Amino acid sequence: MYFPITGVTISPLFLAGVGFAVGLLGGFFGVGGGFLAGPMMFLSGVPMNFVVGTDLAHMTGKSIVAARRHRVLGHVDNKLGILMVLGTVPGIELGARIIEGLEAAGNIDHVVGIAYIVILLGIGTFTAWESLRAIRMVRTEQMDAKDALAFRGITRRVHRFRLPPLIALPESGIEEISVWIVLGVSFLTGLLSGVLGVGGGFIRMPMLIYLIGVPTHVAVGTDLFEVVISAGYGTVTHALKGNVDILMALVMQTGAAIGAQIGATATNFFAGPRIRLLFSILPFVGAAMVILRLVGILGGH
Amino acid sequence: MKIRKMIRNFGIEVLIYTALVVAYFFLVLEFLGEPLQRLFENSLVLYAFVSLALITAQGLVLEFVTSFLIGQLGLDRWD
Repeated sequence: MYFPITGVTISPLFLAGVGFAVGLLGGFFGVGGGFLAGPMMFLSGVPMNFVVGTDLAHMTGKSIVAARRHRVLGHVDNKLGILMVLGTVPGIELGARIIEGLEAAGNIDHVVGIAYIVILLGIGTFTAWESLRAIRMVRTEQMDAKDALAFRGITRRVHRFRLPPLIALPESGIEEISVWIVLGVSFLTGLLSGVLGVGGGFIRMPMLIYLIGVPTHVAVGTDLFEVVISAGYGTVTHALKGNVDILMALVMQTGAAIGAQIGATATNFFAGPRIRLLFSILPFVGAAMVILRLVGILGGH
Repeated sequence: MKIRKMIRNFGIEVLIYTALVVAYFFLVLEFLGEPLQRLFENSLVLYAFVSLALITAQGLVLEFVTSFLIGQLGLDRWD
């Protein structure tokens, strides 16, 4: 099929298939899935400037379907999601400006790429270690598997910061937390997303669990809620620059919508530690994709 | 038994969803291609907001219609 806006010919079934895979991952793990869709689109001949914008557009639609499904399952904390958006958007903007300034000073692709790899490997290793420990604890100590967490030290320390206003997040089982913690964490994840040029689900999901203390299922659903807002915002800004092929995004979303439904529903069959253990594979895949891009196999920025 | 029922209901829902998505797929190809290209060439501002509206509407409408059909078929969703 010929896509007149990008001027490329791609099989719509291929695009729907990529969308399905990304939707499945997004619905299950609460990530946008740009680490997979972007390279696949690039390899199929989509110009690089259209890859990011089009991916963000299809991510918006897919995340709406997945977030609605998670909401039905009771996995979305609306109050937390809205607060997170308030911190994330300025963070992304500041991160994007920092990167623009640094790029004007010289080619920093390799520095950013290596920083990204280090962060991804750190997140993947930590999440794998913690989730395996939690699974062992469930077996030996007869804990409730659903929300077992083997590493609560950081969460407790973070919760000791009690600068007003304090809010309750009953849907996440949090009695009281300073608004500034939520805004700070979301600002930090937004900043990293802006600097690294990624959606941020990789970073935000573990931070919601380990820093704020949100149960894994709610973290997945709430993260998707935030992806809807941040990816929607990104879609408009990229479309204004002429970097979105919405026809392609709509075709991709046909597959992604089904995948997202299946992925979101599948979370009901897994306990928190097992979702985190499976999630820990994703940062390693993401790191491999960045390495391939840095060595030139998947193209540059 | 509960899991079997859940899987059956979910399978039916996915089938309906797939049919809707395929229908929409051809609708997009047939009717939206040219107007969207013209909009892209003439007004990026309008194109940006139409793009967001289309992708949002696609997600919302398909999800809503599936839920409606499931309700009409008398199938419980998750229990």
